[in-house]
Amino acid sequence: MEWQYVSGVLEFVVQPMSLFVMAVSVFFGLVVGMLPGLTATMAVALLTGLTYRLAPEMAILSLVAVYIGAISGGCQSAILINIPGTPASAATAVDGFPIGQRGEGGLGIFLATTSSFFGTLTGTLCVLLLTPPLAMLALKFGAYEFFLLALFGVMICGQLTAGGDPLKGWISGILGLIVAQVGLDGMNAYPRFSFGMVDLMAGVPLIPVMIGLFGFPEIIYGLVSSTARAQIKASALEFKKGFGILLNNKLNMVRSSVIGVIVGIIPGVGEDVAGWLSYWAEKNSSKTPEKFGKGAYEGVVAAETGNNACIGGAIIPVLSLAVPGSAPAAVLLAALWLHGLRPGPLLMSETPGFVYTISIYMTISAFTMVILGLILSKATVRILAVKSTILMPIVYVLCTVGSFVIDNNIFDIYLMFAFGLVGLLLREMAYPAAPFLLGIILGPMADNNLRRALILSNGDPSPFFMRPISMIFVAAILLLALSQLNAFGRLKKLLAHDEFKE
Amino acid sequence: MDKQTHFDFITSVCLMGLSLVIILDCFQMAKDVGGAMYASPGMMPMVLAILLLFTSFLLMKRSVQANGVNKNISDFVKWFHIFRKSKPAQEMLTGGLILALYTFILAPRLPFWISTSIFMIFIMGILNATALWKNIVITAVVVGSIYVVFRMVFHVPLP
Repeated sequence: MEWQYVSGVLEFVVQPMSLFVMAVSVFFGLVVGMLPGLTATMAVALLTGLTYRLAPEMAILSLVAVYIGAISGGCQSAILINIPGTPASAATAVDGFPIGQRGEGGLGIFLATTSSFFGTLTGTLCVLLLTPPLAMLALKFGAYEFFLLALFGVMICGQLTAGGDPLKGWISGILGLIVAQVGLDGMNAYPRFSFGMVDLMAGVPLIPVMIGLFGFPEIIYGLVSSTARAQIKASALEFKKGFGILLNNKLNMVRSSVIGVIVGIIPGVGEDVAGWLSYWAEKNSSKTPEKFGKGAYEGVVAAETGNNACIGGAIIPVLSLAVPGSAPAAVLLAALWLHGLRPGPLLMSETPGFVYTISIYMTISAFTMVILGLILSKATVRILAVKSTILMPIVYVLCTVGSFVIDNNIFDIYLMFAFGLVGLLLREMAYPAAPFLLGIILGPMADNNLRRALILSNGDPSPFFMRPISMIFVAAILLLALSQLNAFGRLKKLLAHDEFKE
Repeated sequence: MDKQTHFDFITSVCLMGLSLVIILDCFQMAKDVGGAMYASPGMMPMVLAILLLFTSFLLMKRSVQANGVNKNISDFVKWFHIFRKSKPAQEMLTGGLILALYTFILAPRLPFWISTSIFMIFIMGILNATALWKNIVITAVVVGSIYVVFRMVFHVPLP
């Protein structure tokens, strides 16, 4: 039965048109990932709009390919000019740039790209192994659990992406959830917060919002900092030495992959955290931690394996729970919905072959990424020399086209601009955009399930606290909230004070 | 941190106002639809507005504890005057205005190739991106490529 799905997907993937689309998408991802200021989320969001008219299989192949390409491409600018192309490669720059400065930029790119390849493959393996059991578990979820899952997802995402200020992450997530309430509600068809505008009755469309939220601030900042980057040259790739280093880093790569996958599964956290955590774990377990930050190969291997393994991790909850594990995965989820697919607990019973489809797309994209990444690295790094004052107007035109083509509605372009301003404000005020996006994605799920749950219990909220899986979510949410309100610190102080009195 | 504190104060005031407006709107929704509050379309927005009110209150408390109300306001006013005169802010506003011009005026009214050509040549010219003839060549290549790919290959209407 499985073989039937696999052979069908393979038949599709090896068609010349599929291979061409995939190669172009990976290349586009590598270039976008390499260019500082253009993120993987933006690349996937932009391509979702641009591939809307393609057949669903082709569009999804293209999106998976661009996701993998963009996360991997960020390492090249991190190593050569110390500017991570995407936040996911920030940890790579710590040791990657000193490697580049030593005249080993080619070797650094080889290590980073092959580690990315390994990380992606491990993530893919985890998609195959973990999605079915997680989907089975999700079948036990009722309205109570889905509401709490949405709330927990936004909270943990806010906690982990806010850079030490979870309150701002939570506010961003709540605002996203509120935006998701705009439009006719699912039960009574009551127009909420639509101000009589027909265009808002169907709710806020996801793709223009995502393009605006992530693309617009980058464009504005790119227009301001109009400096041209210096022409960069990458040295030889040094395959033999590179393979030797990778062989010495087997444990590092496996550990970083595991960390990447786990971080990916946590809703909304993303590849940058995976990269940093993997780097931190390798540094802590190293016998020579003093070498880190001065061009340690292990640092680059750990960061790149971790951030690419996170792709698979982030796709697991997308497929099994319809909850994205990272910001680019959130866009991917929206794209799946857009193409009529229904990821979630019923995925394994409704379209059991889809897990194999995604896994094969990921595997083939990983191979394409490593080949293109290595062969074209000398040519692609020249793109880094393009002035942002030339690049950003082009990107804005693509954002406009990408927002428009979904519904052929000019209002979507206005929305893209409006949410671009929101994204700019969020960034200026140091609020993370990822929880906002996750809030918009999970808002309808939270709304429908909260009301369904309350109607089922005649308004009695006690089942939220009594059902076994709900209890776990409630405990996790309370722990998160109380830890940030310093409740445990106060309790500790109080206990210490009482002991002292006794 | 000091820069963020007065922003936090102003943001918290705005967010508290927003959450109160949403709460009032939610009561109106429940009234319009009838039936129990927990089944009304205003239930979820109400829960979210209460959460927003609570988190905004925490943000306000934190900023007031750090700087006090008066200092937060005076810091914000000071920041605003500096922001108004700073070069990056002016460049940002100019860039934003040109993007707005393309989004709200040119794109909805003119055919794609005309609006995009005007926008690209204009913005690259203002930002001194490169020589005029190069601007024109880049614009022609970009507009031509998008037109060929979307209109002719994918048969997708452009704005």
